[in-house]
Amino acid sequence: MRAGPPTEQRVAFVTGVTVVGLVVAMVCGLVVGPTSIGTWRVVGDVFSHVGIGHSTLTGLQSTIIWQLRAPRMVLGLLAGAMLAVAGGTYQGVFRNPLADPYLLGVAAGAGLGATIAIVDVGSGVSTPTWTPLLAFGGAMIAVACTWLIGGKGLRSNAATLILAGVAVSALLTSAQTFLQQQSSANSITHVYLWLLGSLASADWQSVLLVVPYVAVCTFVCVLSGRALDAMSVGEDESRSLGVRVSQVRLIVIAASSLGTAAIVSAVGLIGFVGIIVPHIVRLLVGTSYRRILPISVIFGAAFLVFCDTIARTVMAPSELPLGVVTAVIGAPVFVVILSLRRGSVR
Amino acid sequence: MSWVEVDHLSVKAGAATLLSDVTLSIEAGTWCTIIGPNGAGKTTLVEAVAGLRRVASGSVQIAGQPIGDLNERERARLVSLVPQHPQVPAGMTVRDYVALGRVAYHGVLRAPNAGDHQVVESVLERLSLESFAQRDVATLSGGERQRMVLARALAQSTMVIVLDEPTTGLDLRHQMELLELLKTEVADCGLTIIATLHDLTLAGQFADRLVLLDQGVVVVDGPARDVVRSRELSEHYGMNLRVIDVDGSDVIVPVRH
Amino acid sequence: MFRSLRLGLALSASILALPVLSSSDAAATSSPPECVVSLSPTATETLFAIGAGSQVQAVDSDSDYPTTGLPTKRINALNPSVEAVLGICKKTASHPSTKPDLVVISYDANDIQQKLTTLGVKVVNQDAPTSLSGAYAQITQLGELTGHVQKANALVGSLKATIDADIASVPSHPNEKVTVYYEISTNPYYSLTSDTFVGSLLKSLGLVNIADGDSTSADAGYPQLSGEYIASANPKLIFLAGDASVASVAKRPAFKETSAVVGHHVVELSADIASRWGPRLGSLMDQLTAAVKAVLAGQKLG
Repeated sequence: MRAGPPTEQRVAFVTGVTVVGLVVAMVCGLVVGPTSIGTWRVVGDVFSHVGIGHSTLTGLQSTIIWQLRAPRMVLGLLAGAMLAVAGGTYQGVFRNPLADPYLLGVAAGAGLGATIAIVDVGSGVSTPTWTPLLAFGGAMIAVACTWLIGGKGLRSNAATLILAGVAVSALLTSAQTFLQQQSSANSITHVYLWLLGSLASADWQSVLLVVPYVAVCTFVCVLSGRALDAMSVGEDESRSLGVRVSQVRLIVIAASSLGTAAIVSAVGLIGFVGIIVPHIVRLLVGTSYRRILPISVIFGAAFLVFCDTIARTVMAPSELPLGVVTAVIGAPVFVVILSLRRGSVR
Repeated sequence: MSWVEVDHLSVKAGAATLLSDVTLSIEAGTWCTIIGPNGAGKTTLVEAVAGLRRVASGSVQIAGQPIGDLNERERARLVSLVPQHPQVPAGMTVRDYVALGRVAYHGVLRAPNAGDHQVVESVLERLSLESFAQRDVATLSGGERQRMVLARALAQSTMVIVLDEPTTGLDLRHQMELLELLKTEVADCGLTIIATLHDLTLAGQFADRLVLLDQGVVVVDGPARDVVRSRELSEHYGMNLRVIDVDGSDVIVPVRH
Repeated sequence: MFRSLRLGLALSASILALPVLSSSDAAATSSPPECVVSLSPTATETLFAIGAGSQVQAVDSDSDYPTTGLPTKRINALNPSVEAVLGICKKTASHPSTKPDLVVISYDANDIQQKLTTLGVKVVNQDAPTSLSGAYAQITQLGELTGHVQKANALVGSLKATIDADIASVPSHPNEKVTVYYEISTNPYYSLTSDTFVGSLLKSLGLVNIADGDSTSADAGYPQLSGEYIASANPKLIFLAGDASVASVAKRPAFKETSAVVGHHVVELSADIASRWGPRLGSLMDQLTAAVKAVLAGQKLG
């Protein structure tokens, strides 16, 4: 494959394959698991819920499908979609291929919030109410601080924001480390495992909490594709073209950060998806964010559900940390596509 | 009232003063070139006219509207910019790059409409870029790229174009081609051009008006023929400059004592 | 449009109905559980000690005692698959479901407690106690839950006897303060205060814990101590519950001159015994007591 602006046919092909991949991932998310439940019986059960035929699953099997696997699959879709689109959006706003959704302090803020929740509020245990709440709050406060320091005024540009993000992250991470080393080994384990990121504690309640944020934020990010393309010529030039750079930046960063914070509060810090999925998509469909962002939504969702299916099945009755699987699968995929393209990554 | 009015404009950067009390009136359909030694403030002046600089005092008005009061989109319909070092993002086609000029009209949320596409195609044709339209911008040569940036500015359908050293990095032939192109646009469409050039001969041959800027202050401002012969020119460039008439065109040469 | 509405309603109905279904399950258990899963190494030891070993069908990957008889199915207690736990039991005539009857945890990973409880599985969280009575209560609880009340009570009784005898056997020493440093990890040095379980054992033996002077917040039962602090506190007795060896401690500059090192009163504790609070508590207490008595008698240790 030679590098060059992609044709409409190629974009359509990639989109089609990605959508098929999404459907396959969703089916795997329901059908595959450590307890084997026949594929067709699951399908029959799905149909029985819409009134066609009746289910042959036992009560326990039905519970496993609908109370354990289904919410986990849906949360995986939401998390994968949001992280991928947030990562792509950040890469566009900062014109930096190393940007990921945690760049402006979301990870550090959420980590600190979760640490406070586990160490102080939960007295060493992760609580279902406080940990997500404080993680979310911490993430948003961190981004707000980054914005206040590096984002306001005509003087601000992408570089000052990134630097502010680095500073805020460093400060909050050190606060987190301080709290951690003050506390027991037990607490440290809890915090570490929370930070590792996992879909294992998914239930319908957490899905419902997260859906509104992800829906709105993903929508806003995808809409910003055209603006990001216009901003690829640099800040001064895009201003001269009529792009309200400061406004676009504020809206886009707010949407990405809010959605990412919601996801992080529910599932911890799942790494790799946010940085690598947009790059894979970019290698396949070119550099226009108008195309990269919507396809990243689908690709990210499919990718994360696919990885989670592996994480929760291959080492049964234990599970693999999700971040390990995303890296082990994502990195080779990326390398393969990169070498096939033999082009440069912007 | 003139099309572009710069009124007692001062621009500062921290403690340093980049432009000091600059006043210019530029008529519609004329070409005004800003000349001056390095560090004179030429780039600052043209960027301020394009609305990209925070102004300490004074104002810039285009078509009677103070551009400081306008938002980016309104301003983009009045004045377009060809910067000295344009950032050209690899991976974009030439057509898409030129189409960026229409963003001021359809906005960042909507796609270009049929009218926008028509403007883009006509500009590509006028600048002989149709054969390049589907190519990646990174594959263009220097001259072709500069033409493409100009095409984007023309696609913006503004009455004023500001160019900062548009001949940077071009060989002589491409320099002349570009400037002739601009001259044609001025003649055919009544464009107002404000440019900076370091080559005094080219500046004198193409511009209607020359403004000599030094250390942020306007030294001389007048018709090109007069400014190139002025005593101040040699003084501020710090060398002995002579004007020679060759076939009716002015050529400015430095002469060693 | 109607289809998806029906699906949505059907889904919501299933979600709401399930707790009703599972709570009827929970009411039924009164006979000894046939399928017990232990995700706590301490609980595993206790279950086998009170005769419930044959009921245990899966344990966590850290359970290593008793050395024979443990089931082959291992689960990572820090990252368990809830779904796999639900399907882990052998189906028999008397136990047709694969769901366990009892799951003992010491850490609530992946929301396992809430998830299994809503599905009708009895989950008991026996995390680290802060006192001996807490440890005894956990043994008694396991006895009640598995139908081995007598054996559990007997185990508690014998542990109490051993431990009380140990404490009584330490000669009183009103004029001598025996300071102790209990090391959990090296580099940096982490210790524990008297607010912790092991700390309470040390206190019951009349030891003065040098880490006590350093407690700040509620969760700081495990403070980090600097080499300087340990050197100036000059403990007479050192317990190593981490990776360090007696020989390596003698080489540390901060520790070389301490009474413990000079008097050969540095004791390595087996990490397993020191980190659990089950049937081998007696053995732990014996080791701690022997060390204290050696210090008081001026005898060198190993």
